[in-house]
Amino acid sequence: MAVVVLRFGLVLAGYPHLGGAMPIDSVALGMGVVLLGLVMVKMDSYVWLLRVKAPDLSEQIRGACAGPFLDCEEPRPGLFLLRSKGETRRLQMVCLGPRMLILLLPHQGGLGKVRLLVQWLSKQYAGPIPRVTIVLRKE
Amino acid sequence: MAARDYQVAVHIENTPEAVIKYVADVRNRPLFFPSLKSVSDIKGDPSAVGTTWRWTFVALATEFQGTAKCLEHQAGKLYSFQTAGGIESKFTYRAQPDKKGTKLTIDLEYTIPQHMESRLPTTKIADAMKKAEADQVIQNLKVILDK
Repeated sequence: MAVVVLRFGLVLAGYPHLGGAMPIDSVALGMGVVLLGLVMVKMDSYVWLLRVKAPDLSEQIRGACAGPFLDCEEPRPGLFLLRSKGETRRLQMVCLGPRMLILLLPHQGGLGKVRLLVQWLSKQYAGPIPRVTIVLRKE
Repeated sequence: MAARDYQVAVHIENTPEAVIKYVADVRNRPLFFPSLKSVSDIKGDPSAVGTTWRWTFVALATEFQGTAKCLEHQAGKLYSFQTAGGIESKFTYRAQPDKKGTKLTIDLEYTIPQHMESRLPTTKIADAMKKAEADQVIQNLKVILDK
């Protein structure tokens, strides 16, 4: 595993060979891509890329915090300090453009209200795959 | 058309008045109801009898939309509402004083019309999903309302 990571790192750094003794092969590159994919899947639990205006999302977060009585402070634009049971978690927005931002989610361990806030956000921003919508009407 | 029902209960460290007041406000529901994405078009006081609203429910990567209506609201005691549409369900929340807190019980009754059953997962899976949802709802309410 260490060799694969090293080889993949060398490829990314622009070193196709290491003194001729360690040729970069397609297997190492493939495994590196898989590793990178796993890291990205792992990161998905706390780093989201969203297509939304920052002020709109800020308003949504403040409104959603009121529901579960989660104390929410915004010491500076885009940084939210969420407090519950004497513990504090950080939720941060990083603007990439007028309608594009990265949302760094807080660790949810031990704080159920923070978990509920993140669950609510995940329902509002479900991801790039469109959903089928079925309208139920009384017959 | 098959009718089904399910009941869950939990002890909450809060007053019956606070518990019923919270669950009766339809705007709070998407926060503790795991599959409920949103409510909109609320017509009337958010917790009053007769108030109607539109809901969007997410299950199996599909969004279902329908309407609902508040049937009964007794402060500190009971709140119930009914959803209308292809799948009709009635939720009744009952609060009773329990030591220094509240025993909250949720009764869920629902019917799936025969013509809808073919569009849903097997009855057993659908029932298990409903029960899991109700269990999660009541645990989330405990997280929010426990003092």
